[in-house]
Amino acid sequence: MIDWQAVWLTVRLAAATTIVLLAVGVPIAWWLARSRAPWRPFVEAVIALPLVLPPTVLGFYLLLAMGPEGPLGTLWAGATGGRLVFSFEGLLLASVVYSLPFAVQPFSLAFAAVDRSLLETSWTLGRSGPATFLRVVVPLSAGGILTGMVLSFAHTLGEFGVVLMVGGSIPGETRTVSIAIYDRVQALDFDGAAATALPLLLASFVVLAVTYGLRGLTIVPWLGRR
Amino acid sequence: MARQALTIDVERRFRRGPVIAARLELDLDAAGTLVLFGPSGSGKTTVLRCLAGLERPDRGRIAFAGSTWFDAAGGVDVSPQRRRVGYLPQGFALFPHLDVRANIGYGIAATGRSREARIGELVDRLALAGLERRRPGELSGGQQQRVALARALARDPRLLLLDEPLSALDTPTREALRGELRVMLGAGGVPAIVVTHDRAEALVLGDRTAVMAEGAVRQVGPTLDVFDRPADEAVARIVGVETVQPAVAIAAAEGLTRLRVGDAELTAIGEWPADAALLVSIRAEDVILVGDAPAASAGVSARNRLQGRVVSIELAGPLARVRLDCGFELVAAVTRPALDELDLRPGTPVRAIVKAPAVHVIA
Repeated sequence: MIDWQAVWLTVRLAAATTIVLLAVGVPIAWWLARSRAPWRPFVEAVIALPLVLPPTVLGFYLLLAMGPEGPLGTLWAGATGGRLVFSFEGLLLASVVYSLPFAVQPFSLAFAAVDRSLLETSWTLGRSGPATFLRVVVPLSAGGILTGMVLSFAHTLGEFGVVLMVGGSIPGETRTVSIAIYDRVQALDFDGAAATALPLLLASFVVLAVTYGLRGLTIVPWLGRR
Repeated sequence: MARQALTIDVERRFRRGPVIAARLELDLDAAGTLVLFGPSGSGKTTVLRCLAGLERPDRGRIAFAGSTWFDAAGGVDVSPQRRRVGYLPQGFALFPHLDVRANIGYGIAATGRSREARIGELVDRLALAGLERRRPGELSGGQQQRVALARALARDPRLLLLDEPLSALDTPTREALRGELRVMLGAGGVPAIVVTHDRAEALVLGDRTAVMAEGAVRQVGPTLDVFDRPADEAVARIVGVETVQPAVAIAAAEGLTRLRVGDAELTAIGEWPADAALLVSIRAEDVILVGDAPAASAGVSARNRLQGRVVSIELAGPLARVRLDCGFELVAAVTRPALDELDLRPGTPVRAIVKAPAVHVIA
């Protein structure tokens, strides 16, 4: 039988992560695409770290930072009175960090591909910076933005190590599909694991197939053709 | 038409690059075109971008028609949004995701009916009817140029700025569009500044020309004067030493055209309709001088044999530039030994011989 609670939680987490990444990733990506600051490579490296770090290493540092004694945990406790680790909010924060490169890199590539002379022409035609962004940059980067969002969503669906480290396995709060499957397998309940794994597989497949269909492009643009 | 004063006095330093220190002060005619002419790297695009507000000079002042756009000392730097210039970068920068209508309407603040009316007016004026729903990618180079101009004019700019407007096009298209662009700029009723490194473009488009070299403005004047009488050697090297004169076609036959130039006639390759107003340019190196003995130029294949008189002689290294009056002013470059052999001095009668292919006609 399918662990619907875990499925629902996972979808909520993935959707919330995607939305937060859209809000956070777009400004970061815009800055990366346009900046010539000397410290830009360091910012790029920090953002790309989750691509190469083992999720457990990332999760370990996040756990330290988000714990009751950690800077993020203290801040959160001060603001809300609650705790960050082993909560949905903490899980969301960890997911955002973990999937940051999957949003920022496609966004940034798409932004960088927008010819600067289009922006300059827009300014001379009386349009402000934000108006130019909405009228020129967003429509021309729609493909990259969509790709980044799909990747963030799909990547969050499948995350495991980071969730395990900072979220644990609290039903309805932090037990995502991948944790639920792991628990079933630990309990030698292979039928239950299979039943829960199937929706994850299908959901991932459908999301990716729809995106391919919409774009006719490779899903990972910096590996495929541009 | 009112004349509008333009003051440019800017300095811009590039890291590991040249220093641009350009000064230019002149009145622009309401429908006149100023060409900024110079080799690549001479700073003409930087000056244009400073005018548009897209590049910030390190020092100096820019003012146009009574308003100060930039003043480093006074802390003035009007944003590109508020300078009301029509800026056409290289390649035109049409918005690829918008159709012709939306491109033209992009800078129009009004909405609803007045917006539609304004777009319709520009579509008519720039002969874009029928193309309204096309995307820029589906337009020819000439159509793109007209859309870019329409988009710039839609906002009633006070000044048009064009950066190498024809350089993105292939040669035949470029030559065809040169004349069209001149007509459109003239009809726009807005003064224009055009950056180019192409001599023919400068000659066709520019009522006046400012020559730039190494970041500085070296000479400003009516275009023909600048090309015909470079102020110094640097300018001469940039514009090329040659004669540039207005000409009128008399008659064309079999691929040749007779042209009236001043009081003389020339034959050139190509056919132009009678009475067409043209320019001819002849490189000084292509002019052969012959002593005035009557038989001296009989039996010569060259089509253009002109009777003239030496006006002045300037020495430049091993060469001498000999200015002749042969019904129009013609410059010949000859070596010093030739000068002595023909015993040339001001007043000496000579014949100038120019082959028809050396008479370049600019339409």
